[in-house]
Amino acid sequence: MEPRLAAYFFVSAAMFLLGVFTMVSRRNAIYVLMGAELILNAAALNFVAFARFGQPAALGGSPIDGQMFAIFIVILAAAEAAVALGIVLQLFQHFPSIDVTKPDRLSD
Amino acid sequence: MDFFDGSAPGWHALAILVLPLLGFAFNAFTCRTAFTRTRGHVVPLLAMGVALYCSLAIFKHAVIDYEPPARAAAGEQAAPAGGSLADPRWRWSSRDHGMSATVIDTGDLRVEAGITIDHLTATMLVVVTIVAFLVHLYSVGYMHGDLRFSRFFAFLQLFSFSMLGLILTDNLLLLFCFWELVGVCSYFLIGFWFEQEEPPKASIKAFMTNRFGDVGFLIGILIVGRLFGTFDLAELYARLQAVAEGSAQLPPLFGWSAGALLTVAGLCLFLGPMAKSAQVPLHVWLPDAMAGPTPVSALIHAATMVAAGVYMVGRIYFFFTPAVLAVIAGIGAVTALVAASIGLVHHNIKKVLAYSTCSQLGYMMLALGVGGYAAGLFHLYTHAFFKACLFLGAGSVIHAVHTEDMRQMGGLRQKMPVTYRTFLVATLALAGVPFLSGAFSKEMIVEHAILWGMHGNVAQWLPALVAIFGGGLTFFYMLRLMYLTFYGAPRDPRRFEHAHESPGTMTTPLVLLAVLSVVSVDWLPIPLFRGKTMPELLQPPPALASIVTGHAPEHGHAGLLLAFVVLVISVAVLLAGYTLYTRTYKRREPGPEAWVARFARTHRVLTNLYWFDEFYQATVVRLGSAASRAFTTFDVRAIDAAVNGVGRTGEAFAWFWGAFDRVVIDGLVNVWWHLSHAVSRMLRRIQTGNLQDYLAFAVGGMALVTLMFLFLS
Amino acid sequence: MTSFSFLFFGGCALAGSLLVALMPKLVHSAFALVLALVGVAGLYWTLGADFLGGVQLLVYVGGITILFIYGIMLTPKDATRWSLPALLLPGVIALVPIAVMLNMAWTGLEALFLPGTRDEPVPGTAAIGEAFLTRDQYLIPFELASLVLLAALVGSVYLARRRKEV
Repeated sequence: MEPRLAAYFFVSAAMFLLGVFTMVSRRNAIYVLMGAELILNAAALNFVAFARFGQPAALGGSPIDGQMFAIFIVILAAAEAAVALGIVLQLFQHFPSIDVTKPDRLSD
Repeated sequence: MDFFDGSAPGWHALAILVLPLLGFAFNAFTCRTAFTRTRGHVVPLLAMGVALYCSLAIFKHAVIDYEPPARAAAGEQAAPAGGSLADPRWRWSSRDHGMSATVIDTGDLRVEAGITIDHLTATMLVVVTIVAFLVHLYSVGYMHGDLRFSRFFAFLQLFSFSMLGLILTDNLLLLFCFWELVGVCSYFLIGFWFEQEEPPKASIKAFMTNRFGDVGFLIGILIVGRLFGTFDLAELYARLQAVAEGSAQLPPLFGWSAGALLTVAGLCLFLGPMAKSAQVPLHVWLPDAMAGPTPVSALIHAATMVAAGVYMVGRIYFFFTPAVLAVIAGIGAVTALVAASIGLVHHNIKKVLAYSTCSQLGYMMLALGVGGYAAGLFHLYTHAFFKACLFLGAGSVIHAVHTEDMRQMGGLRQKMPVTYRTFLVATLALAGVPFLSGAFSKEMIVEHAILWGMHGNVAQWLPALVAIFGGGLTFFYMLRLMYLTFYGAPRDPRRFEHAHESPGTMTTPLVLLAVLSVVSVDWLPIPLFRGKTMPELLQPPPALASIVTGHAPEHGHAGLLLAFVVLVISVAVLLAGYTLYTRTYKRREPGPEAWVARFARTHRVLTNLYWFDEFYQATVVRLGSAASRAFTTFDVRAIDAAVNGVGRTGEAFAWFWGAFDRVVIDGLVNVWWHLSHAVSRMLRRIQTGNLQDYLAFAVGGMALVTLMFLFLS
Repeated sequence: MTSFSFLFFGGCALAGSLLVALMPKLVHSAFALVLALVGVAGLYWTLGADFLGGVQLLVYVGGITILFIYGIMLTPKDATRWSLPALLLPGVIALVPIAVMLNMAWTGLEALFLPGTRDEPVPGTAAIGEAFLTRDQYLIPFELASLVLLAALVGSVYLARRRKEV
């Protein structure tokens, strides 16, 4: 049986969910960033799967768009990871803790 | 408008009417200022002085300068040949000169009032203004230092205005209005010292008694209005004249004849003067009215207000049928006798004078009833002068010894010579001593009474007998009064010590009035009056009512023989009275105590005033109080309860709406508050400040949206 | 062939994600992340995106995970507990559409992409290079991406400075 689009959806969805889960349920800021990476990857995977399987010609575009998207996601994910880590270090110097439940000054 | 003609009496009459009113207004509006506390008499005196001048001017124009077309002998009253019953007397009416006021103007009824002046009016004006002016002058001294000095004068002015208006008006309705106004002023003035106990009660008694008579008066006026369709006196005369001549018919009320209707109307109308002029049985207020200040007693209850009744009878004289006239004469006789008898036993100097006044008013009514028109009115004028003099003299005595009880006086002749002498003169005038004014008027009355008796049945001799006998009584009680006050040894040495003669403002009016008591005779000042006698001036109107009822009156001729007979009789009676006096008081054989003991029961009746007051108290007063209580109960229970009920309903309503507003409306508004608060509290919990919570919410929302897309498409 | 590689790499990705979510220790999770990323790279190769898979390995595995390791080293080891509130609800909600989608996926999603899947050759590296440098295609985004990277570089250096204690 050939894996079709649906199969990749499954993987992608699962990764996404697990990434959300990680982001939401872990207190450590690094964990949150790892979850963000998972989410981004899941999205990129989705794009590539569509590039391979499912572009209706009627909508225009070429098979390359999905891959381009994924490449840009990679680029931006890298940038984001760097900046995010910088922020985490700042967080640590401020509070000093990287427990993300600690900065709650925006609460009511 | 020849109203402005200097020789016409119009301006003078208007001034007489308006000036006292202005004086009243001035005093009324300034009675709280310092100026009027000591000088409140200035404006009123001025007003009365000018009014006096004006009335003298009118008198000159109307009486002295007037040339009568024919000199009829006194007493001739029958219809002149030719058949016309027109009123031959002179009259000036302001209506002829375009000066009248429309008092009432509904569609059906139109009442216009103006001023009318004839000889009756002119002479009355002079008498009233003289006495009023002198009383004003006297009050300056008598009321000196009183706290309500200027208010007293205001009331005097208001009274003067009302009395003069009553004299001048030509309309029955307005006459009634002024009549009532005079009563109101009497109420104010009797009750002037309202802090004391007596005056308020006396003033209410006076007012109520007068009101009683006024009800009859008003009924009479209404009957007249219904019969003749007008209230104007000249019109009434004209229409009654038409009926008497046979050219008109009275509307038949209740199926009665014209004569019966006129009699009933006349009797009702007479109720007014019966109360106002203190005739028995409505005389009970006059003695109590002495609770007011003495100038008030002098002005109102001797000279003017009580004379208004007599004046009014004279005004409507043409209206009275012989039956009514007989009733008037009878009541007058009874009054004269009863009042004189009570005057014998009193100890209060003012009360004796009050009963004397009552008795003399009875004489006047008697005179008018027996046909002595000029006699009755002339007696009114002379009585005004000497009775005012007597009252003011009594006031002077009271001012000196500070008591009204004669048992504490005595021997004041030495201490108060002016008062004593004027008092003496006035007493002699009252008694009818020859050559004084009172004698002339009294003898005229007796003459007419005798004539009436001669030309009628036996019962018609009674008034004459009463008149003669009453003269003796009068002399006796006045001598008694003089004895107790001025002669003999002083009974209260302390009071006698302090007694002194009164100041000039009080003695001057006394002297003037005494002089007038002497000179106001009907023939003496010939050059002044150009030879007219009082009977000529005061000619009665043709007796229309008598003609309507079918009895044309016959009056005899009062000739010199009759006058001489009457003179002899009067002198005899006076001597008898004087003899009794000297034997009782001067020589004490027997003294007054012996007389009292011998006639103990009569004395008791007299001292208790014939129990008139008790009778009224038991009947009228109790009825009135009961009715008043019933009405008060009704008012409190029913009407006030209804009003309170409405009030309480409003309260309940208000409470209900208030509660509704609080609970429902405010509640509605508050619900939103609570709601938004609760919702906000709930929603605020989302803002945890926790990053992960926000992320979770975002994902949850995304899931929900996806669900929506999945299931709704 | 493809099914095997799909299963293998897919399983790596899933297992790695699961381990990231569930591993108690931070460093273990970091390594699990490596596994996941490698799995995703393999999936890219399975899908025929060769260049992308290589880039994935180079950048993600070789760069970003090293960055994470450095981060782990520089920060203390606290906050290891789970944050349970807000955990359950979104998770439960999220499961639902996933389940539905999966159901649809197995039964009919393919029908959306008629007529069947394409089996054309997937564009190769040369095509990607051309796309990056062709003005009408992805040239500008390419240049902008490099600017973004520059900004990120500068920014992260600035952010990671040690602040002076005030």
